[in-house]
Amino acid sequence: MSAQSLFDLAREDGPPADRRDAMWDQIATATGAGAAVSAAAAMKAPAAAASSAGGVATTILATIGTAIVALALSAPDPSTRADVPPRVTTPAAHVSPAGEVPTTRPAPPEHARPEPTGDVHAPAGDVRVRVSTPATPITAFGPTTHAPAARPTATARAAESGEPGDALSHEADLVSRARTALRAGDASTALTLARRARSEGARALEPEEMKLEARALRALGRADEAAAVEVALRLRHPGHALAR
Amino acid sequence: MTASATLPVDIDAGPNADPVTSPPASGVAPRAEIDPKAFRAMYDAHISFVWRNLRRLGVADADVEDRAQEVFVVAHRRFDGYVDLGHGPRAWLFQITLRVAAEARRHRRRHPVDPDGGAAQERQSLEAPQPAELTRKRRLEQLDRALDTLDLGRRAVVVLHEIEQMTAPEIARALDIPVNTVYSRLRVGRAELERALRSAGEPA
Repeated sequence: MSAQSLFDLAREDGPPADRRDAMWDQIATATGAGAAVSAAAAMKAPAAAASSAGGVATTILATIGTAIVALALSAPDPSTRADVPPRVTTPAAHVSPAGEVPTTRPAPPEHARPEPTGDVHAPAGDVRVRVSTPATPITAFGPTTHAPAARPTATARAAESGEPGDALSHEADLVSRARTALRAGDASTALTLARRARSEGARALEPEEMKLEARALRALGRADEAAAVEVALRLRHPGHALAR
Repeated sequence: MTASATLPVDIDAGPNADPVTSPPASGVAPRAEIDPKAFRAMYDAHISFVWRNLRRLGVADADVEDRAQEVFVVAHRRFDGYVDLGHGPRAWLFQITLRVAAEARRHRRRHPVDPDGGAAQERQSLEAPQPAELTRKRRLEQLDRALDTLDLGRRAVVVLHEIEQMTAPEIARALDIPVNTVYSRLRVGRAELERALRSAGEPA
């Protein structure tokens, strides 16, 4: 066989068709590029992610996580003044990872109804934490505010607009700005931007956003809330480098 | 002569370094929007190109899938810096591929044993091979062994010209070297390749 025929043979070389799709799935996971494109990948994704054995396991983990976070938050913190109860807030809105259905939460008890300011104070020891399954975001809240249930998710809005990359780009932009603000020492702006990214973006960068949120909270001296966010990060993304 | 000395595309800079077509890294500057459909289309059109060039540039069979993914992850990160100079994204992708391949070869030299003890390779070899597929694999291995004798700079030129059928000006742009250097490397590279094939019992 001549060198030329070897070159001809090499020209035909390439990955098998099934490996192409598998590689794309990996790339899409790593980059978020497939979030809006790969309808096939979405169909391949386990439709019953929240059901059956996986769902049960997740529920158990979530329950354990709930207990840990509740203990962490209800423990008396010497750095906290007795007359100032810990303030636990939640992001303004929640976007489901797949972006299909806005999360609907049960109405909080009467004593926990949100105040118009958004930040709700509760007596120490009365802070409860709810950790949801991966299908719904995990956030620490006692008396808290909820996003309007009818509000469409960012991905849904992007899909409606016909521009699936919008939500992801917007989210990446917000994360970049939050990081810049944090570096510049403006923790308050960083916190606002990180929370906006979580509520408005495609949630492809959720671990980064949660870590930024925790760092911003810590920089603001709100260590309890930072700890709660970090615990939530570990529960939602146990294998992620930022969760270690 | 080291590979990095022969290629203005700084393969020692690592796969995440900016290709020549992209602007300087700007830290946390917000990135331009990436059209996921365009990126998917680029993947579909060029995954074979990336795959076979990784193989021809010396990436081991067991590593090629991971490295191909790495090329596209880097490409995604740098997508907003990509400027089409009129010959499509192949030259740009090849720059990333070249860096990833150089890194993979370095890694393989440092860690010659598979972390799984060759289990993945063994599983692959359990599949019943077809005679035609076996012959094809053997021929490609012969070509890769012969290409292994070439310095990476010449190897890149020979691969781009003989397999990818890129013209000398295209190769010059892809590797950021003068056209005359492309011709001289091609001449020397061909001669070396023929010698290697002949010594392996292959008529060149």
